[in-house]
Amino acid sequence: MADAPTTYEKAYEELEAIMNDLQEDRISVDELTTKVKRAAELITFCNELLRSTEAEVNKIVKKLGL
Amino acid sequence: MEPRRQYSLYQLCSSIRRRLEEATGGRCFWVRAEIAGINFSRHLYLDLVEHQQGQRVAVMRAMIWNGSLNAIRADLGEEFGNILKQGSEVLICGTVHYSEVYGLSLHVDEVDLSFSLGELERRKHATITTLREEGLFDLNRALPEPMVIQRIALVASVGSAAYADFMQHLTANEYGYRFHVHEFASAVQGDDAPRQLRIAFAAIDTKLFDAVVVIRGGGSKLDLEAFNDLDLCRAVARMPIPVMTGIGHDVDLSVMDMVAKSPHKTPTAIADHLVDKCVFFETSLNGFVVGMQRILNERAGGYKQRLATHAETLRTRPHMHCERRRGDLQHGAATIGQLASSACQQASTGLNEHRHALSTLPLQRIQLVEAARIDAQRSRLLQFAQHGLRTLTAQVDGMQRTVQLLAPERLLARGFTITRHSGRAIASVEELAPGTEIETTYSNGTTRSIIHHIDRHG
Repeated sequence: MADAPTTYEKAYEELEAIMNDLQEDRISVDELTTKVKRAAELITFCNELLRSTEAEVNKIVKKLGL
Repeated sequence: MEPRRQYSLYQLCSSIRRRLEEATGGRCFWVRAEIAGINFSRHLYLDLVEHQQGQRVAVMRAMIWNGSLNAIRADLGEEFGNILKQGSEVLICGTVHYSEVYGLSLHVDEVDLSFSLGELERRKHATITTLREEGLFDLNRALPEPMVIQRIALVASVGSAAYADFMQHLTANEYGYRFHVHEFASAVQGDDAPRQLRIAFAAIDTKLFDAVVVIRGGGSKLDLEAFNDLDLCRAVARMPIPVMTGIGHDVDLSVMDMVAKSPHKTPTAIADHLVDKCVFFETSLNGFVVGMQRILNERAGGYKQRLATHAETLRTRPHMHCERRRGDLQHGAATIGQLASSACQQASTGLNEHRHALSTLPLQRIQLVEAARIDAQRSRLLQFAQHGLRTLTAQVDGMQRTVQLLAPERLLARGFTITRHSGRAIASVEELAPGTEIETTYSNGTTRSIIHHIDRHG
């Protein structure tokens, strides 16, 4: 079992930070693309994690580096 | 001497019985006592005891006739077993009987339920007070609850209906969320429950779980006693992850419910809560998606607008530039024309002025000017001639000195000689051959000699 009890919180915090960044008007198109991509990754990660077996969870957490 | 009066044992005992009956008159007494022992055969037999400062100060046997037993069972309902058990403090109503054969005993007709529940409350309050004094009461309650609780340490009587309900609600949720449940089996009621629960809690490696869930299928009020156990509640309060209780009761909270992070009424209520948390979390994620889409759309709109502006600029700027340049050129051409015309005019005016001046200058004035100019040139010519003569004289002097230095006499006097053959001065050995006669001139004489050998240099 993964020793990562706060991964949802971490993902959520990162998403919040990204949203705050996105709301800033100064962000460039390149940055925008990078951030949206990361946000999509995080959301997919959370959705997968919610529906994964214990064995699958470890792999997902490792993959996203949370 | 009066003969000693003798009684048979029966006479004594029946006398005691009669005196007791006279004194009590068959009255019922409410007696508070602790049940030190209990024994059920056809009737229920109790050993009552009272302690004061740890000392046993009174004991009496008591019994509940089979007939009364049914009535008491009906009165106490599900708490019957929790009240009439060893160690319970009870308030009972009974008549004092004395039997010549069985001795003194209390025949119990009634057991006070509210007294027992009151006792439960009293002990519960004592436990709460202790936990507060120890600073433990709010420890677990103060912990934050994770956004999603997925890895669950489940303390339950595995295989019970409560356990099955809980697992069913959790695993068969309509959203497909997965929960990772590890069981820590324990009895949840009965005298051994507190001990087993403590062992279960001690066995949980809290690093591996998001929360502890404790469930029980329900039961009587006094069944809750296990969850009021002081040591157990201490362990729960000290848990570093949230404890969730669903121990099946409607009105009263156990102490464990009070110290736990989140108390629920039933196991299924916990399961629903856990699923709801996932739903809420996922909804928040969707909120991010929607928010991001909105921002991206706004941005895209902004970019589109900017692109359109740029495109318009690109379309119109070259034209404008050309127009401007054309304007510049035309202006330039006009300026040049004007300048040329004005320059011509100026020149023409100047010429006219000169022409006029020339035509008006008197001849005499011209002659004077020319005479002066001729004088000046004459004097400059004279100066130049004088200077040239001086330079030439100096050059001739220098040449004379050089000529003097190079005179043959001077050279011969310094050791040079002149070699001649047939009266001609010889400058190269190429002109000579062995056997040739040569004449050598010195400053003060001449020698004749025959050449024997010639060495060439270089």
